[in-house]
Amino acid sequence: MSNFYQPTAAAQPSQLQLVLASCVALIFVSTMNQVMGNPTSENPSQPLKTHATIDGAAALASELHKIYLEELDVVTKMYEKRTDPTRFSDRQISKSAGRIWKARRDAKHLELMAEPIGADLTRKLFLLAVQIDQFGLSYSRTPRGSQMMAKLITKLKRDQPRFQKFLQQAATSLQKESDPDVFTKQMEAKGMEMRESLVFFSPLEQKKYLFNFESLLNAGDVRQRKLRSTQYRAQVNDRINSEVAKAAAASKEIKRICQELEDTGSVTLDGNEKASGTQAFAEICRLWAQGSANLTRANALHWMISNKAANENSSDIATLKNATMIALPSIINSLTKKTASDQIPRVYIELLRHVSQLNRRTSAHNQVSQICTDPLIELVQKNPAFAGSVKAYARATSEPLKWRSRFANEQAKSLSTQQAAAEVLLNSKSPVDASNRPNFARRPGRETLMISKTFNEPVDWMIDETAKRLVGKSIKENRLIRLAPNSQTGIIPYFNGHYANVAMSLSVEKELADLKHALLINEGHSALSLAGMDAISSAEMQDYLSIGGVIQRVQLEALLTRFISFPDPAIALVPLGGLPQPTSNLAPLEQTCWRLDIVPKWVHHRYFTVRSIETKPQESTITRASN
Amino acid sequence: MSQALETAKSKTKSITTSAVEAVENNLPESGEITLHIEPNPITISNANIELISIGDGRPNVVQITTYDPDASSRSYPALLLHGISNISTTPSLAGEKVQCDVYYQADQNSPIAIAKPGEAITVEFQQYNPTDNVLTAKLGTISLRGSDDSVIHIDGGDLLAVIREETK
Repeated sequence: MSNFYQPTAAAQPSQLQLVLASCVALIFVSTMNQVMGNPTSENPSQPLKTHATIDGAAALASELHKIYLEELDVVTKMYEKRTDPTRFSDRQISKSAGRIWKARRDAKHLELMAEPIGADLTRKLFLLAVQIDQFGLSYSRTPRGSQMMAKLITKLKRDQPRFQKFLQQAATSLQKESDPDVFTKQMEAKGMEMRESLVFFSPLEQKKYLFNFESLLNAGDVRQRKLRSTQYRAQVNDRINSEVAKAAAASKEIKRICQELEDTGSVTLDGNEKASGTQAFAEICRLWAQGSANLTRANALHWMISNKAANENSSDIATLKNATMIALPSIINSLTKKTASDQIPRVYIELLRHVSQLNRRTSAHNQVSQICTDPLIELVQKNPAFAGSVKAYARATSEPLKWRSRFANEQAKSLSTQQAAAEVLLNSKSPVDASNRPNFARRPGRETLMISKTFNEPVDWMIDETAKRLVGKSIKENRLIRLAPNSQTGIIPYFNGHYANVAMSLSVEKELADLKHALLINEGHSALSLAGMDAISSAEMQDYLSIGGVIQRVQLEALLTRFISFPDPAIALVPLGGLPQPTSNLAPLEQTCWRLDIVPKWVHHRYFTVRSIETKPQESTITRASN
Repeated sequence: MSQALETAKSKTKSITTSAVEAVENNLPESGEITLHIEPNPITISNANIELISIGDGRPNVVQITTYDPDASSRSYPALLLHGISNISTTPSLAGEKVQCDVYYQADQNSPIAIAKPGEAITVEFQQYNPTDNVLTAKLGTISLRGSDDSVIHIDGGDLLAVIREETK
């Protein structure tokens, strides 16, 4: 150990090694992408995805997961032979003990990176370590094991002077505050070597051979953890600042658009493009969504730093919302001033469409439509004939809408009785069925919640348990928002520990045509009231008040990862103006986020319901007496 | 004695009836609609017709209601017939046939029934009476679907609708 702090010449990579390493890295990355999903009902052994805020986290997680799977295989096979320890392989026990010891340390490093998979691997590797230790002790008591122990004791005693010298050098290194990475690397190499031998000893005996190794290692760990924490916190803060700055820029841009439109009657978007007022309105809606995605990520990054279930960016999200709530009526007012009378109908209809869509994507009920109603009335009054048409249209369509809304509500109420509401289903309890767990962990279980709010067991056990209980079950969810007009998926926003993906598999063609007919809409004529436009745009978009269906697939995600790795288009998960709310009394790092994939059996649009073929009423229906 | 009592009762009833008739004759017409629904036809003693012109090239809307759309609560049985027509004044609807969507509810707690998508009832307007400002019409047949999946079959009906002020 004379070279305790100097990398050896042999450790310097050659050009060829670098090229090979690059190739391996490429393969590794591509393999990693395939492996790193999230555990699902179909593939429960997939590891949790990393949010990879800290450099190197994804690669480390992938490597550790691979080690875990390999060692799980070793342990389960060895467990089969537990009644006859003479059949154990001492070399395998040694190798596994060393690998698991190192992997457990690396898992702790992942925890320091605030990766939820770190805690999961810590939990899993601990269970393997317990088994390997038992195998080691059992083997040591066999005749061959006793012989091996004698040899091991001789070797350990012979190596003691060298080991103590190593420890002295390590202590000096620690005192001089030399490179912590080199210290840790060399301590870990020695630790693995010691572990490979000491796995056959009882914990008390182990201490006799370790001297002050553990306290030195701990001291080094404390020092390195401090350094890493500072470094990682800086990386996270950089990302938070970047996200918050982007959201602030969105707020600023919203204000600029309003001012420019008011001053000049047009607005410059994307550098040089001159855009109309209605395009400006659409741009503000887009900026609100984009800024909200930035703040959702920033907020989740704050969870990562504090590990507290508080939303640090609530005031930022409120500021962005306020900027938007001022901007939307302001744009309409500018349009009222600058738009020629004959252009009012076109502008009004375009605005109605934007308002109705945005209104359904916000957290506060009808706030957007409320703040836009008066400015829209003022806009149409600039063209008195058109204002008359708007008034007449509202009168001509409000009664059918009222009837249809009540009819759809009644139907949905009746359809809802076929499914348990999500809250009820997910909060119900059921006894644990441990039959699919590794052979060393099949203990009969107590009753647990249908979905756990925290990671309290290895994720593959959790997903297996929940999938057995939930896949195939009927469920009712509220408020479905389609991701995009042509998307095959609708989203039930995140609430109370879960969200859902819903396949857009039910055709609304007939109902949409019928609604258009009732609302006097054809190619040349659009809806002229907000209620009418909302009816049509939500039907076209397939945004629903509620749905009932069957859970086809379950996925277990980490709350932290879901909202740090949050792509802009996923903003449908978080209604605009709000932030996802973690469970208040639980540490965010430990919180789960369950995704349910649902195949709908029926959907409840505000003005109609649609059912799948198997849910439709039988032809032989009863003729009801009128009174 | 008992015969005298019966005679007196009969006279009283007769006086009361004629008094009611006299008052009713002086009241403005409130309209009426009869729906031939099995097993018992339903008569709703209130029916108004409104022709709403939107004025942007769309056809006009014919809206027949048995309740006041502007009132906060609805009277039952409640019926809405909603269709479109190119006729420009309500009296001119006489002799016209209009396809109407049907919305019906017998009472507050009974299922709501509406026409299936793409189906409509034919309202065949008959006569316009300028004195009472009413239109009469014959209703066609239609099967309505109930919000509880029941089916309500209307086998025709008669309408006497008071014309509301046209909305432009």
